[in-house]
Amino acid sequence: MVTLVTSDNEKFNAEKEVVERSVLIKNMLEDVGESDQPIPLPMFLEYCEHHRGEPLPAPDADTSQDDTRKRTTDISEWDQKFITVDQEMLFEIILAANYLDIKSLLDVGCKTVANMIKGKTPEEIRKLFNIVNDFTPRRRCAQIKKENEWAEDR
Amino acid sequence: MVNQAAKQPARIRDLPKRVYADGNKRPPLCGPSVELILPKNFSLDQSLLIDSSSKFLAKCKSLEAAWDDKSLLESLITESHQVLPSRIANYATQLSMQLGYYSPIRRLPPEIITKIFVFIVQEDPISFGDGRLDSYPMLKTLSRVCSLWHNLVVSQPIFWSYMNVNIGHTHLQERSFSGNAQLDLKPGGGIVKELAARGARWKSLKVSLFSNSDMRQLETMLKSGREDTTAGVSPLPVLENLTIYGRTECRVLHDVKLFICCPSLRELHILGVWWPSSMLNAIDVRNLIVLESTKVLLDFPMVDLLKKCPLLQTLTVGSVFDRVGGAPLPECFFHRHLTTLNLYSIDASFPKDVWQSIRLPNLAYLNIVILTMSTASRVVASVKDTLAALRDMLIFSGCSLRETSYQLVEADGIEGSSTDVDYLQAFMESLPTTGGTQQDVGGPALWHYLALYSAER
Repeated sequence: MVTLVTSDNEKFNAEKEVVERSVLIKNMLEDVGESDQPIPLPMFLEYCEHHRGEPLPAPDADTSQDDTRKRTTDISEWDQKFITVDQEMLFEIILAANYLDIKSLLDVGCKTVANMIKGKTPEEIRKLFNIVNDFTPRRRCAQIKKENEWAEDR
Repeated sequence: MVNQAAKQPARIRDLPKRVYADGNKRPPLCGPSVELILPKNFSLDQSLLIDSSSKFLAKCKSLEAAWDDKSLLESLITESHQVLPSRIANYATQLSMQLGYYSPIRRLPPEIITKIFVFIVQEDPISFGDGRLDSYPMLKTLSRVCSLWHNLVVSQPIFWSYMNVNIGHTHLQERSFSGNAQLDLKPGGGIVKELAARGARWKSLKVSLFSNSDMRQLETMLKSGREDTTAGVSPLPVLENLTIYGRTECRVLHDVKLFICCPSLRELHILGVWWPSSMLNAIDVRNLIVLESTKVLLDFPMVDLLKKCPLLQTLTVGSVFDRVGGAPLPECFFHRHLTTLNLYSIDASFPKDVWQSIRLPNLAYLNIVILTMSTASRVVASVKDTLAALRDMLIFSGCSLRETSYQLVEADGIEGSSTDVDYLQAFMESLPTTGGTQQDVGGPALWHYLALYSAER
């Protein structure tokens, strides 16, 4: 068993096999070795517990951007329920998964955001994520002109 | 006078004089004439008079200034009423912009945004048809959201490397008009030629075939486009993922010379077209990890197919027509890499002894789709024999399945009872599994016959 401590000092006990789904924690455990020292960690035990035993991606799989080519935006039913949270929490999960190097969770988060974006107009996307349209009118015109020029240059 | 003026607040002193409609710069002073009030015997101390007059005039001055001040304030208030709404709107915009910079999505670093965009773009890539750019809708949309996203879209080559290219098949109607007459097609405009010249960079290729000649056209274009024409050099040296969709006009795939030398091939998907497994003899599949085929003509036993792909992790097969069958091998072949087996369209034609010399000790995921689009009796036979053989193989392999699932695709309207579901569930649970079974029922199916099968077993 490994003891994990959140940033607000709450302690969790979890099996080594479960927490090792995070490459970061796996590396930390390898560095620390057999020790009673607790490891700081936010909440991801539920996700790791559910996916316990599934084959981990190759260590170098995420070093290349190209590996994303093979994926689609399909998300399993359980993962979908897990990731059904408000936007702030969703991005927190993505950031934490990135930090903890939990590749499958990062993928689930990114796919969720991708599914939210798909089929929407720029204005709808801005509204959804509270993004500011910071293009100046002149730049907007230039941008449209440039895009059309590229498209018609055949 | 000077002193009085000096005592006035600077702001009043500096205010511009208001000019009234009658041309005066101040309102007329009120009151009767001095001469009318004073009695005739009135003796006047002149110095006192001068003093009082100057005081009076000073008061008047200050009153006049106050009046001007009031008028100016009134005009300023009126002006403010007009300007204020637009200023408030302006401040609100600025505030929302400031808040926008703190929106949760802004916290994501560019590499994660890139990852999200890749998921989007790979499902909606740039499309080319007959050498013309048709559209790139999602990239366009993403680049128009904000300047940050725009810069990201135009600076990452990976977004622009997903392309759908239609070679000469955008005028299907014209093709049907031409009947059986021979066609002289010259597909490929500038873009297609350019892409063909970059065949050495193709990493993933999805081809829709309407006939086997399409493949030859592609091969010709790739050969003519490539710079290195040395014999034996692959035109697709880094191709990792190959998907071939067979359209209705293309029933059997014959021409596969193009893909004989693809040393990097990891994934092979051949969908909707019968292909002879002899193709595997020609193609280098030693490094194949994923093999998917909906229609396989087995020229040799399945065990040979697995032997040719020693690293295979996921095998998906649909309709299998076993030309060989034959007696079991004296020794079973253990394939230790295969973890996922998807069997689609199991029906009467699925060979029952396909697994007899195969052992899959590390198999973890099993998905079965039972096709019920045939007569009931045939389905019963196929389910009975094939599933039994499959279960035997799994038990003898000593594998421990982590997850199993089954699906019954809509059949010929045969309704079953709820107890029949239990029978099929019982069959799935009789498999060597540690996890649960997912059930996905596509429609009214063969519960009754599956119950018969279970009863027999």
